[in-house]
Amino acid sequence: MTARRLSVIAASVLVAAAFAWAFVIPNLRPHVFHGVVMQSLAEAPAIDLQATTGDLVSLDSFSGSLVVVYFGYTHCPDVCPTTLSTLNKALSRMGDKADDVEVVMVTVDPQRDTVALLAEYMAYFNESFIGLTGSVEDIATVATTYGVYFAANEGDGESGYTVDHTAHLMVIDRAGHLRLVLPPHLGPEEIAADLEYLS
Amino acid sequence: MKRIVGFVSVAAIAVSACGSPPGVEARDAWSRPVPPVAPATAVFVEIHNGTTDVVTLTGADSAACSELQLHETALDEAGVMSMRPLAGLAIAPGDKETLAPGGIHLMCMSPDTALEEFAITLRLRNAEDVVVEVIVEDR
Ligand SMILES: [Cu+2]
Repeated sequence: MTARRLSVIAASVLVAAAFAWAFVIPNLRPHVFHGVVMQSLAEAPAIDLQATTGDLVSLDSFSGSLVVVYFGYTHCPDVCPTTLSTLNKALSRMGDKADDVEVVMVTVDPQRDTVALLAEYMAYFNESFIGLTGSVEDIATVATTYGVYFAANEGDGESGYTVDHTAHLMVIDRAGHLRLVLPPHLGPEEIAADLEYLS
Repeated sequence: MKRIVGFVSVAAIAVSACGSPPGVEARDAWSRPVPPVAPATAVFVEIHNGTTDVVTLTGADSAACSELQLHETALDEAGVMSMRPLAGLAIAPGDKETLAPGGIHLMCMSPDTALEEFAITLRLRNAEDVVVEVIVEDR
């Protein structure tokens, strides 16, 4: 066997390996979630709140869809718009698969977030995004069952008060189980990959 | 002697023509597009301190905002996000600070959301005010 032939064989082995690495192996590998997977498949806690669509909404209204629940508020200038914009980008990456993903923001500031304000705010990021509000007590109940913390701070002057809140995204699968918690720093690609896997 | 004076003045012109006279420079100022009903929006910017003193950003002004305050967003280990006013942001000589999402921002109250671009004036301690144009874009 000549050295030349050997090098041809070596080169083709390398090409085959590169091909496998690039195309075959990724498909064999199980999906690695970017978010934190809930180990016990508990039913997602009930949500009964006023929706920006005008109706009272319960989780059952979304059954069969993948539901992404976020707790935020419209006076939040940084993290909330960033999250909603990131979610919109994630959905546009998903194409048709985004059709049955429902994005819902429960306001942690029902005092200032009226249904009308929430409706316009959410629709700006994506026509399909829904805002949910209710009494402080009702929202506190929902938040607590999702392990979400929120508390208003004393404000100063015109800027008013701010609300500390958990910035994670909760993902409820089609069967109504709380499946995944997405930390706030994830980008559109990572969120889309996790949602696509569950859809 | 005349010759030396001539040389010195040429050198002085050369230094000032270099583009960045020693001072404070604001770059890449931007803000996310937000709905017209948004009560507030955040402005982000990179500030370079080319002086030999510590310069402190204390706030800003703009015709596009009713108020423009320095704020800090913090995320704790439990994922709780909070935002607090910041009295000042000190920038060491020769250093830069970047105001970015999830960190420090200038909070623009009642923003004029119709604008695609607006000027803000950075208020600095130890340096002249700096005017910078903010680009509204989704990043
Ligand atoms: Cu702020």
